[in-house]
Amino acid sequence: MPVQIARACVPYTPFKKKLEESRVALVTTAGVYAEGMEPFTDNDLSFRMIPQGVEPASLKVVPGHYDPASAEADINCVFPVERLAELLSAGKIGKIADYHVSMGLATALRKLKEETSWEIADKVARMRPDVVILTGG
Amino acid sequence: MGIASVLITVSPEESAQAGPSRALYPKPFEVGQSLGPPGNTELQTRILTDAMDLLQHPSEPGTIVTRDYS
Repeated sequence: MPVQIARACVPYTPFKKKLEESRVALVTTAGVYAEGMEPFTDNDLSFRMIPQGVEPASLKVVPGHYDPASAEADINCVFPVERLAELLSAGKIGKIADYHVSMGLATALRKLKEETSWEIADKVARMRPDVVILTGG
Repeated sequence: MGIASVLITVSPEESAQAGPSRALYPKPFEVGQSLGPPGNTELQTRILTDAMDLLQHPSEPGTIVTRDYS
């Protein structure tokens, strides 16, 4: 009798802490970078480590897969750094990770999956966040 | 050992193919405004906290929860 091959499992890590005690990091593919950093280019597999506490006005976005007008007016539309800082001040989250991670639009999906995603995962893991919030732009 | 994560997506069909652990689709927003329009602090906070709430009140892994913010 042929064996049915199951669809790929969904990776899942249970959340067992309280948000008020958790360290939170943002990871985005919205193409966010800080002033002084190299902007993203087309099909760019590089990523930027955006320091926690960076001045929001110094954050820029690369026009790529979306109209950047809203993000240029208010970075929180795609990368909610100020909203996260406010939640910290209000005691709703415990800490913010030392860095957030940002990528641009990458179309080399195999290389993204087999190499870059592991590099990013390693960088993120070293910051020991309890929660990662992902945004796509 | 992994890290608990939640995705805020405004491309739910595309995101579903990637099988996110937890995901929020904040209707009716589109790419470039995943957390809503500029300057709407209260709405951005609400979307962010609703996404984080999925960590404490999860659906079946791979489910994209749709909430309407219009």
